[in-house]
Order: sequence, then C-alpha cells, then structure tokens
Amino acid sequence: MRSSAARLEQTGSPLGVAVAVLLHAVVIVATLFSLQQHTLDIADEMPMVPVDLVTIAPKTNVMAMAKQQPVSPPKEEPVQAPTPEPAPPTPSAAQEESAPPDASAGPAPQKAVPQIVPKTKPVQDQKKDKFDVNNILALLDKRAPSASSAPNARAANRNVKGFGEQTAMTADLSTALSSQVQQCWSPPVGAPDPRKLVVDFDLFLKQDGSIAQPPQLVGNSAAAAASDPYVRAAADAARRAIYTCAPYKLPADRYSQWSEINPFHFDPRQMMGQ
Amino acid sequence: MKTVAFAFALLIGFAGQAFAALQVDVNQGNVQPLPIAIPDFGGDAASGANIARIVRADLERSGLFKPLDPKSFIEQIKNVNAAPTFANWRVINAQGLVTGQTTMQPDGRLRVDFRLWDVYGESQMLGLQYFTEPENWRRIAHLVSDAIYERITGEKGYFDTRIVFISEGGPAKNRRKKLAVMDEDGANPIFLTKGDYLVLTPRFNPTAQMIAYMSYIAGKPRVYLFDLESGRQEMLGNFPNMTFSPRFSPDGNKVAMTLENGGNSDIYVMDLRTRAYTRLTTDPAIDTSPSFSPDGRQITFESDRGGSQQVYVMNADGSNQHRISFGGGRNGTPVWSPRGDMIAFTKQDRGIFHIGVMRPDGGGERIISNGWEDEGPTWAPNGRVLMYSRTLQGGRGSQIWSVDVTGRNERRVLTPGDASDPAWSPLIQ
Amino acid sequence: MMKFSSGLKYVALAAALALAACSSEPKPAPASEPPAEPQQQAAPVQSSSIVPGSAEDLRVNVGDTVHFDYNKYDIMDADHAVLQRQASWLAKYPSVRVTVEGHCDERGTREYNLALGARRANAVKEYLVSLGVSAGRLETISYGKERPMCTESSESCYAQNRRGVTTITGGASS
Repeated sequence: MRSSAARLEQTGSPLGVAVAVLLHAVVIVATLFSLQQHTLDIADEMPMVPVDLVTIAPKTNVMAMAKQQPVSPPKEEPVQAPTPEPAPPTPSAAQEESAPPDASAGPAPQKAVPQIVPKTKPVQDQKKDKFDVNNILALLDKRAPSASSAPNARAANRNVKGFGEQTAMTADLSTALSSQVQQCWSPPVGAPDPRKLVVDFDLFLKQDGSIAQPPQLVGNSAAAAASDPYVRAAADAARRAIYTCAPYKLPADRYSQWSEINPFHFDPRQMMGQ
Repeated sequence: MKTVAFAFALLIGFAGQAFAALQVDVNQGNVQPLPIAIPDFGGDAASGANIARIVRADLERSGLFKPLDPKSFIEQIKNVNAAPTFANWRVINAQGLVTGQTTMQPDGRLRVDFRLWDVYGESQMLGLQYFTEPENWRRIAHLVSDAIYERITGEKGYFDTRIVFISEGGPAKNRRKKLAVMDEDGANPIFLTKGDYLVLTPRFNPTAQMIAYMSYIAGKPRVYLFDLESGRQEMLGNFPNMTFSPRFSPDGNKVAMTLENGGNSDIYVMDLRTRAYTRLTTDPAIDTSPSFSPDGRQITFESDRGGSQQVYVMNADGSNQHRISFGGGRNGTPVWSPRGDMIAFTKQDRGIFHIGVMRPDGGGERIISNGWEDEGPTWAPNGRVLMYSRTLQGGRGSQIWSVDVTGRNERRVLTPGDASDPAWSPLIQ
Repeated sequence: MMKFSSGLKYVALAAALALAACSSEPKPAPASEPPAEPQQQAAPVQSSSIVPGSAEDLRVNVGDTVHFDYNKYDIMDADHAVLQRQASWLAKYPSVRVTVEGHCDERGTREYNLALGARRANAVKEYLVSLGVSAGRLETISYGKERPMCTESSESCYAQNRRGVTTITGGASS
C-alpha cells in the first residue's frame, strides 16, 4: 500500500493549495476550540449516572443442598433479595429500524469498479489482494470442507452503490480510501439485524490525509443512532475505523476531489452473507 | 464548535460548486477484538485492582475486546473525573479506555465510579456510578463489564449471569453426575446434589431461582424442579413413565417436556400453577427437546417422524408442526435464541457432532463449533454467545465450551472438573 | 419433597445388580435411601455355585442382554433365543420381577437417546410379553447413553453399548 500511495501523491494543483490553506485555517480554529473544551472540568458535562445497588446480593439466592456437601460448601451468607435496580441506563429499544440507505437501489447490475486511471493501477492490484485477504464472511461456518461452500458461499455478485453518481474520474479515489479504511473497520457483525449496521458519515479531510473535524453521521443512521443501540454501536465502530486508519494516503494534487467524503458509507451486510 | 462547523459548512458549500463530495463505500472490514485499556481502578478501597482484573477477564473472554497489558500503560490515571491524555493511550493503540475508582462511603458502602472513553474520538462514551456492599465487588465488576459491552456492541451484556450444569466425575462407564451452578466466569461453583443418582439436562427458569432437570432419584427417571432459594426439590407431575427434556416457557409459568409411554415419546406442556398438562404431539415417532420461542407463541423440537432426527417448529398449542432442518445429517436439541432470530441445534454429520445455528425458517444454517461430540447448546441471555457440552473421543470426559454466534472465539469454559449440559441463566435481576 | 416409591428398594437392588453384572466399579448408593434391605450386592459372587433363580443365574446361565443396530430398536433374529430363554426362566420363577434397561451408544444426542433407550427397553418388554410373561412383572427404564459398557469411540464398542438388559428387581432367590 505504501508504495502505491506514494505514487499517488503528486504535486498539488493551485486550486488544491488554495483550498488547503483555507481548510487549515479552519482546522486551526477548530483545534483551538476543541482544546479549550478539553480543559473543562468534564464532571460538569459528562456526569456519572449513579446506580444504587445497595441491597444487591453477591450471587443469586442459592440454598445449599441438604447436609454434608462433598465439595465447595456455599458460604453461609445472608440471602438477600436482589434489587431490581442494576440496569444501567440504556436507550429504549429501537422504535424503528433505520432503512438501509440503498434499500431502494434495488439490484443494480454489478460492474467491476469502473475504469481506473493508469497511474492508480498499482493501487488496484493492491486492492484486489486486500479484498482477497478480507474475503471471508464475518459469520463463520465450520462445516467440514467437503460439505462446505455451497450453502453458505458468499454471494458472487454484490451491488456496489454510488459510483454511478459520480464521475469515473474519482472512482479510483473511492477505492483507495475504502481499501485503507477497511483495515481498521471491525463492525459489530453479531447483531441480529444487519440493516441496522449500515451507517453514513460526512467527513472532511485535510490535505495531508488527516481528519479535519470529527466525522458527522448523516442520513438515516444519524437519527437512528440516537435511539437504537445497535445503530449507535455500528456508528461508533465506523467512526473508530475512520480515526484509527487516518491519515489517508491520497493524491495531494487531487485534494479538491477528496477534501470531503459524503456519504462515507459503511455497509457490513456483504460480510455477513446478507 | 457549532460556529466553526457553520463556517466550515459555508466554506464547503461555496467550494462545493466547484467539486462535489467524494462518495466512498466500505463493504469489507477486518473483524478484530477492540483494543481497550483498563487500568486498575484507583481510590481508597482495596477492591479497585480486583474489579479491573475481573472486567479485563470478562471482556477478554467475550472475544470482542482485547484488554491491553497494564504494563504497557504510559499514563497513570489519578482522577476518574479528569479527562485522560488521549495521546498517551493512542500510542499503545488503545481504542477504548476505562477509568474507575472505588471509594468507601462513610456508611460502609462501596462506591464504584467508572468511565469509558473513546480514545480516538476523545470523548466519554459512558459514565456510571455504583453503590453496594463491599463484598459485592465481584458482581459490580460484572455489571461494569456488561455496561461496557453494551455500549460497544449495542447488545446487553451477559457477564452478570450464572450457569447451571452437570458436574461429572468417576469412571467413564458409571459417571457420577451432580447438579451444580456457577457464575458465568466459572467463579463460585456450588453443588446442589451429591452424585448419588444420575441427574441430567438442568435448565433455569426466567428468574434464575428455579431449575428444572431430570433425575434418576429412586430409580425413576423423571423431571424435577429445584428451588434455589429454599433448596426444595419436587417431582414435576406424577407420571407412570419417564419424563425428560424439561424447558420453561418465557413467562416461567409452564414447562414443556417429554413423556414416554410404551416406548413412544411425545411432548407435553404443564402449567405450573394448575399442574394441568396438555399433549402437543401424538405421532408414534420420537418427539422431544422442546424449546419455546421468546414470545412464547411457538415451540421448536426434534422428531424422527420423517425417518431421521430433525428439527421442527410448531405453534405453542401443537398446531402447524413443520420441519425446518434440511441442511443434511441428523439435527436435534433445538434451542430458540432469546433474541428470537435464530435456533441453535446439534448436527450429527458423518459421526461428528457440531453445534449449528439457523433461522427459525430453517435458512441461513451455519456450523459454529468444531469438536468430536458437541451437543446441547444454550444461549446467553443476549442471544449472542452459546455454551454447549463437548464430549471427548474415547470416553475421555466432558467439557463445557462456548462460542460466539458468529462462529468466532470458540473456547473452553472453566469448570470444576468435567462438566456437561450447561444452561445459561437469564440476566440476574 | 422427594417422593420415594415403594419400589425403591427393588430399584436400588436392581441397579446394584445391574452394575455388578457389567462393571466392577463401586455403585454409589441412592441418596437418602431408607435403611432398608440387607444390601444384596454385598453377597459375594460365589463363582462355583450359582443359585438357581438368582440374578446371577439369569445373567450367566440364561443371558440378560440383547443388542440393537444403530438407531434401531427392533429385536434382532440372533436375540430371539436369549429372550425365549428369559421367558422360560421367568415362567420357572414366577415371583421374580424384572426391569428392562434400554441403552444406546454415544452417537445420539442425550435426550434423543433417552427416548431411543425407552424404545429398546419397550421392544424387549413386548417381546417377552408376547412369549407369555405377564406385563405386570416387567418394568422398563432408559439410560440413554449414560451407562456405556465400553468407552472407546469405535464401532465394536458402540455395538456393545446398544443393548437391552433384563435385570431383577424383586422376588429372586439369593
């Protein structure tokens, strides 16, 4: 990845430089603000939620079996009724499911990622390797090899959303960024409803590929994350991926094309065999 | 911050006329446990280090977290109420950070404060405070683990739960089996019977205060109830022949079980309040191992009515009995997930027993365990993790294992000696 | 509270005898056993003289065990003779009451095997009844795969474990 990324980096265009200067200015201001925020006493804005467990029992009420016990006699602790208190505050169960952003897209004809500009060719090769490395279902099936593959093989054709809406000129950028961030993305694939794990972010990047400001949830997932713990967990996982894999290696001369990513679309359903 | 964002938006809006935002789709990931730093809790109570140790062990056991070695920590957390220096935790690749402190209150109670931090996002994800009797520190640790697990995964935790199981010992031809319970992490094992008679297949009721199990006491194999609070046992019903495979309804008011008569086994439901029972299956085949759906409206069970042991589903009144397992081999011991989305079962395929999961319509079948003779799955109350019996080849004993529903993190559960037939409690109230 | 049937003593005795028959392992006494009968299994196995009408007579001279095919419960042709001998022996000692144990190999899930063992025990019972033994003298019990004769994971071992065993629960000579 490193070598190909290095190839991608070219000298910046005048427009890119101008934008970069502006963005840097904004970022500096933003940083000042956030630094100030961190000096605040967090106790004010991030209160502890007290949970009183005063009468909780160390274990559920277990009376020993009668008489002599051969092993590990239970302690003669006073048996207390456990309080029905201990539940930490949790968002109420999901009121509504977040519709998958591309639910209406339907089965678009699957295409290989569109034409790649020649200079990104190495990236593409690299990317293929990476896909192979990661081409395992998040949900494992330990069936004996001879009986395997057929019933649970990964669907061969997947819809790749969104490329139709932008020019082929930026498809290579999308691919490059996607292949970088996926190394850091560990979505909560054990969730019961994979559709809830689809989240979209709006992300601004600096010209050096670092994060300009905290990524913002957008689209359906933004509202759902407030009320649905699964969506929130999925959003957190995607946000962690964005942060952890930064800075991103992208061609500086085309910064104008990747200064903002929106939607930064995370969809683990393919990993879950959906 | 808002004004900055606004200015930024203006700027981009302006620039946006020249170039649109890039769209990026991420469809592949890299499922890994979350690196998390959990320093010993500070404060004046001695339990701080113990609580952190239990939380680390809980989260590690789940397979979804990778607690980092405390020796690698750069920063010492002195004040749970001050923001940590996140850069110090990013250096060691922690993505989550748990800070906590324990305080002895003037009234003798223990206070435990903790916060969960997003190291990269530099924000607090969770902050909770518990008050309890000092001897309850272990349960508090499990509750802290549950809260962290829930915040990160979106699902309820399961660390503050217990396991009822059969503790095994003695010669392979004549195992001594005792009814036993322990905490989910293997702590506090307690034996409820002495092993003088065979006991099998215990299951908790929804309050975790009652156990239904099968006992050969007095040489008659029957379903019994064991009240954990009083220590009382009673035979469930008074049937002339064998009763077995008990399982409580989700409301705890009924027990579904199998009655054998003249060599034929059929499924019945007994109302625990009236002791009236209803027969649900009537065919001459083996019908057994009933398990209710979480809404109580359906029952999954196994039957060999079609020529081989397979998994079926019926309505709770016995109507609409239909087979759902078509994935090959023999399939039995179905158990409905507490979250309703899956049924776990035992598949026998070419002599090997595996644990599998499938949707209640029979689709999406996956095999998630990898042993010689794995059988009898039980679900964690969050429907995310399974335990099961693993019998070793050649009479070399039985163990309890667990695995994540994704098929990851298959590992042995700590038990005092050999063990089998685990059943998970609901979340302890 | 636990309910103890009046048959407890017979069952305890039968279990003890059954175990003595197939294993040299010590048998744990049933819990809370009433201080009942003189322990029959304490009687040493007298190798030379087998008492007619005794449990050992049934086991050694008549044959107490039949076998089954994998996942099957029909009586095999080869076992007709031993069951006929059992029926004749029971006719000769009309005060004897027996329990037929049904057992399985390990290649079945626990609860399924309890049901399958019940089928096997019942098949033996019905066969004996068809030969004139009064059904009232015959009890059945299934042990599923809980009491194997042999613990290797091999077909020869599985075959030994798939069995029906006729054990005396009362009225035998000692």
